[in-house]
Amino acid sequence: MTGKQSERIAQLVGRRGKAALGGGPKRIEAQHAKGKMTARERLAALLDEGSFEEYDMFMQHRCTHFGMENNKVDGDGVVTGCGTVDGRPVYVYAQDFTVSGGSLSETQARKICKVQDLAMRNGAPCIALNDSGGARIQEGVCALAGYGEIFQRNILASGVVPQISGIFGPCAGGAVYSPALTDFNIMVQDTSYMFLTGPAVVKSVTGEVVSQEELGGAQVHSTKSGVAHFAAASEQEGLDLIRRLLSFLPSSNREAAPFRETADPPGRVDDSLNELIPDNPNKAYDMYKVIGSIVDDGEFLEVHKSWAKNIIVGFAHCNGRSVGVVANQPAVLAGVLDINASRKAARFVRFCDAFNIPLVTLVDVPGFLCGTQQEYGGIITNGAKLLYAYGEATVPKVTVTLRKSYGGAHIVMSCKQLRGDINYAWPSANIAVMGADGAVEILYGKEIKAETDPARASALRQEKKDEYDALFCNPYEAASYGYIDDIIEPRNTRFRVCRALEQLAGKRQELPAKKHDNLPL
Amino acid sequence: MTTTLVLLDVAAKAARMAQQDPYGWIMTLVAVSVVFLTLFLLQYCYRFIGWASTREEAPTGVHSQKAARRKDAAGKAGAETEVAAAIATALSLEASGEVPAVIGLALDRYFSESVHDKESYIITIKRKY
Repeated sequence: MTGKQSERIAQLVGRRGKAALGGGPKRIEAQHAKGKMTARERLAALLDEGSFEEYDMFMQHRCTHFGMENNKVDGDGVVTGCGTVDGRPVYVYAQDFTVSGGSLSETQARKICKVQDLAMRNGAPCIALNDSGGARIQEGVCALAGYGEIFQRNILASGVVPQISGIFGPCAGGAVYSPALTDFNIMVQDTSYMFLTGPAVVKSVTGEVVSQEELGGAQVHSTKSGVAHFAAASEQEGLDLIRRLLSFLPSSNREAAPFRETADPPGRVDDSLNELIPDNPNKAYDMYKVIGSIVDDGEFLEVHKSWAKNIIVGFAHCNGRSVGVVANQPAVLAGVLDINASRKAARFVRFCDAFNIPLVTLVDVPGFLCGTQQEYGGIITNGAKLLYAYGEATVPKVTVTLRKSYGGAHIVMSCKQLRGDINYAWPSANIAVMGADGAVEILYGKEIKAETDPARASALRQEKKDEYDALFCNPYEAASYGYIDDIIEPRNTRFRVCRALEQLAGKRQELPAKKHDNLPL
Repeated sequence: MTTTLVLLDVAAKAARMAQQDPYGWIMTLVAVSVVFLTLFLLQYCYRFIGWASTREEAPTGVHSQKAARRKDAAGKAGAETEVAAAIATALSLEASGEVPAVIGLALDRYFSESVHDKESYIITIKRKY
């Protein structure tokens, strides 16, 4: 090697080392003092060891306003590249808060767009680790254009490759729309926040005094708004969560959902399920017990765990196959469908359908939540989202009705007419227009009111209720019309679901040709 | 030669018998009949003793027998439950604590709720990846 070549190599090593330091040791220290990792530390924790290849390490911004020409840092505040998670390629970008607060410049946007394009072209997930103060004000409209470019790619990649956003610091203003467009958002408690306008602006506009955490912290977005799908206690937990989430997802819509070997036999029976449903129809039980019993090793990754808890959605494996589970939760609001529950489940169903993940639906739903609050909030449109999502989905759909399945909610929850492939019911299932109480009130209300003797009125009500129960509150009525494919013993549910999924593995179903659908947004 | 001599001897005895006791065959027939009649009556006698000793558990008559069968089937589950309860009690007496109680409960459930919908528990479909 010549002396000149050695010098060149030394220069490369030097520049690479300098670029790796980002904003410098002081800022790295400040980042650590806040309990936060640097962008490179996050990528090291996320990806398989030694798998990361960085792109555009030496890119710099081109801004000359406000003295920016003297403030150039290699990489320009974002680390981009390709690595692997469990041996599968993923494209990543991590904003570096130590460089100009991670603010988005035109150059930073170009770097991000490059990995987004690569992810799309190569059919690999795209993971964003956000930690940015927002648009770089010095660059003006060019920074905004950068956001626009990123959003456009988020939209084009939606349904093509899984997109996951980790919010590991501030994410404010227009920047929030990239995570909002991606499939999953993971926020870290106490160190991350998302809002369109910060507390200072809120105070000046509305007079409302609110802290960052109260306005857009992980707690708020994971429990009230539903913007965050997961809330992690620490950055490490958040990164581990992303790895776990990826294990359930295919790399792109061109692939089948990943398969995982399991030692849990599909024929495992769980006798406790036979005793799970209380005799009293108004008594609750915990749907998590059913999910845990059906899926492999009881392992379930719940999405939106703390938001709209009356419906449960998440990923699991059944006989090694990745599945999306949607289940009403009778222990919360009796498992009723409301605006948030409908939105939550609809988004999840559409994601599973886009990425070839079969759907397992467990039904115990008394109906839609009534009242002015729900009607004014648009329960009709929001309920229709879930209806639309199930009706549109072409992935294998296996449904098990455990207890109540009444009225419109029965139709929405993956019924036979919404192209449900295999619909089972437990012997305790009640599939009817409504429950006995309501039906008797409508059908015999006048007669009951006409009775002057309260004891006789009560006896008449009970008699009519029993009559209605015997006629409609059972699964055999629906089964007699073929709306239920089979009535199964609860303890055999895992076996029947696993076998149904194997039967449906070859399912192919097409939608009519169209530019795009017009779901009720 | 020997056979001919024996046959000649039997024929000679028969001729002598017919001469000395012309109605002897009637006596022989009566004796044999008495033996067989006694045997015939004895079998009824033994049947009666058998019926008399079991009549409380299995009453005669078509309807009664059906009722007995029903009673038997119903009693079986009850008896099994009693067995389970007895085992549970024995275990409790032997080593008081939660474990025997749980075993007892499990046995009781096993005997009293052992009706299940049959499944093969085998998936024969070859996997399509």
